[in-house]
Amino acid sequence: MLRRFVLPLFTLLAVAAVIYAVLFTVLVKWERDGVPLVYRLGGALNQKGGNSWQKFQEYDPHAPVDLLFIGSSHAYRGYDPRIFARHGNTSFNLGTSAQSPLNTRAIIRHVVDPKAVKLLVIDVYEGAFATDGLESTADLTQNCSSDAAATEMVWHLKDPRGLNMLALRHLRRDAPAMYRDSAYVEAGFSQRTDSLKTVAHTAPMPPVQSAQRRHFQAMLKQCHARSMRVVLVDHPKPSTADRERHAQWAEWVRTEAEHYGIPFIDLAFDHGLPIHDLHHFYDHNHLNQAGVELFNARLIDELERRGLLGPSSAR
Amino acid sequence: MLFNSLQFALFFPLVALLHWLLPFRLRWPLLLAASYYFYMQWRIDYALLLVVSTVIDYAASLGIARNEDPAARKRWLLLSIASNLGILFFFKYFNFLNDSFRGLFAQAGWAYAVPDLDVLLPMGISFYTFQTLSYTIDVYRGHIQPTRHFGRFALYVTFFPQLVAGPIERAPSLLPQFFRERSYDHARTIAGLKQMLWGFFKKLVIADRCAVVVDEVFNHPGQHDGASILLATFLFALQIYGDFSGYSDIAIGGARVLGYDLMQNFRTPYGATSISAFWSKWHISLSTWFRDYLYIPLGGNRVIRWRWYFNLAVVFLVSGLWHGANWTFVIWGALHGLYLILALVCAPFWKRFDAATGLARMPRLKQALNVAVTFALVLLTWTVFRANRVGDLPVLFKAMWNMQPSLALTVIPVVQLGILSVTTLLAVLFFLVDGRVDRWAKGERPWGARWKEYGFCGALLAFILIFGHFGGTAFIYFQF
Repeated sequence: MLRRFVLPLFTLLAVAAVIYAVLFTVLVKWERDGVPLVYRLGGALNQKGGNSWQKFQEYDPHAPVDLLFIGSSHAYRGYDPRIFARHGNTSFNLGTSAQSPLNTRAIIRHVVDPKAVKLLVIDVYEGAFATDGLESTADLTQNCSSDAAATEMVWHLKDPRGLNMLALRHLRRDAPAMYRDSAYVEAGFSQRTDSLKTVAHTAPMPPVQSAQRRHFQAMLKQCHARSMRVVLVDHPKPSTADRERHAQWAEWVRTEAEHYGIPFIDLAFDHGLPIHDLHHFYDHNHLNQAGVELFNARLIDELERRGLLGPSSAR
Repeated sequence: MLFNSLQFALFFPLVALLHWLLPFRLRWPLLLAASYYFYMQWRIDYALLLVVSTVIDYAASLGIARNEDPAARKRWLLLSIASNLGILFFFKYFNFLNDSFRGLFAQAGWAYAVPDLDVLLPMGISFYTFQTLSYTIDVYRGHIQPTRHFGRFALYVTFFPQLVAGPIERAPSLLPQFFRERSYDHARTIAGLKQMLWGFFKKLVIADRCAVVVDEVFNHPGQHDGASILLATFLFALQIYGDFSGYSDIAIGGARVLGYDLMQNFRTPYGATSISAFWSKWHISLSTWFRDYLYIPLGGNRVIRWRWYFNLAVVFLVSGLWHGANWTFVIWGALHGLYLILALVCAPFWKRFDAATGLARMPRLKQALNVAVTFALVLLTWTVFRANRVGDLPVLFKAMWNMQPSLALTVIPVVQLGILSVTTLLAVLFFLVDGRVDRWAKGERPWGARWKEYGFCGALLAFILIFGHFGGTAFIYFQF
């Protein structure tokens, strides 16, 4: 058995590994017009840079904050640390593009220091649960500050492309960022001030993936085990979004949250705010700065009402 | 279940391991259960169609064998043909014909109220219905004795490596293998695994990479220039070959690992020197099926000349329709039929042409020219095959006809230059080495030295990891 299968298999894998390493290194090191050839292959190999890179450069996991926001683009475009600072609270936003529970789970585990965060605010946009996590893993493997987090994401992704992502991360470790996000402000937040000019068209969302549900459950369990204070929030949606589907979604989130005694603040529709589709969104589901101002003020009230956000230590 | 999925990467080794660990009498139940599991990963309810096909053909074959009376035998045969083709018609062609009639009626200004059927096309339906049909016809013709073992017959119908996209196996070749005990053969296993690896390379590195460019151009034909369309057609030729022959290699290699031999389905078709040679190298299991069960019963070439042409035309029209319920496939089949008829009609002219130009004395040059012309003709038909609808054809051909000698391809801004160049480079490389590597991978050529074998397989693995286009893209022929 050993001689017939295991040894030939190891020999083959060793040969493949050598060829892979040589070829991949050549593709990474060989640049044309300042861009390594590897980026011309297409397929889930993101360039280093953008707001994900900027925020992980800025974020100090051991610096104490009152609130840490995390989640998909709804998070990093919807929770403005400057507004919370006006209210006297320190905060940081670790939301990134298309971040799914698979990715959030790894970031919380390997990047976030529970002792430095008073309240972890997890945005639970349903769309982030409807992805397989590939897009976010491609982004975070190049931009996240933790090797362990990047490796865990790739492990959970179970996609051969993950190997290329990790190899690229390793080979481009000392390379500078290739681009910056002009909408990035500070503390992980990206600001948009333009507004939607026409009626929000909400495209049908694919179904939530069961694997993402499992990652979400594991993430809540992990937070509970590390005695982290957590709150789940769903931020305002345009009036054209599917209310019935959201009600089912919110019910599931509430059930999962209750299991660990975690509060869920659902402000998707019943927020009591004068939020208007045309003036407070910059696309079909992201708030613009005018919308963020209204939503964040409402969230602060709600957090205070629930006793989750007391007078700040910073005040 | 897709071959190019993580699920299959776990499923196949487990089945292979269990297969060789179990005693012979338990192997067929294992493979039958595995085959149904494999199919039901797509849709559970449509597995019922497999059961129906199996039961009808099992009963029909026994009915034929038990009856001496020719009329009764014919009735059993007709039952099998009608039920198999009936299922095929219901699921694959009803909505197509209904839609065509609706269009005709609308043009005439008449009302047409027959609604479409709300059904999905069962995966691989054309493959397994043709396979079971050939069994009953072979029994009727007395070529084989029907099996009384229902389980092993059911396995013949559903054997998972070739269930959804062939090769379309004949009973005399595959069925007896399920009755014959084989002991584990390590060399066969390794050969099978190598062929599977080559198949994965063709699918993930060649076919799926080409698909990115091909889909962009053919899904928006009006937005691209002639050069882009020509390039996309060339890439489609490689995509469909890589996709389908890749599937066949995985199927044949997988069956080999389990100890069974499936027929060859491709023999470097783009090296064919004529359209007729192309069809003896492309989807061999289907072309021989049509030869044996349609062309020869129609009279083949042992009839008067016009009837011979008619037979060819019928076979290729049906072959086009077999590929899909769309007029593009019918036109594609018709074009191939026309090519063959024209080749026969013009044969004396070409003979005189070769003699007059001296080509007859330069066999290598003649062969190269023939390969190039045949490939160009096939390429032309692939444009029709890949077009989403007949209405796209004038747009595609007009753009190619008005092509300007420029490298400013419109496909470039849409699909990044890098992806396009890497894809084209890999595709051309594959095109150049395919024939030789194909024979290596299938074990038809010796490797010479062990290090070459490790080097080749290691390079394939590395190429798949770096250049592979992952994301669970289905095989093109599943839809047929």
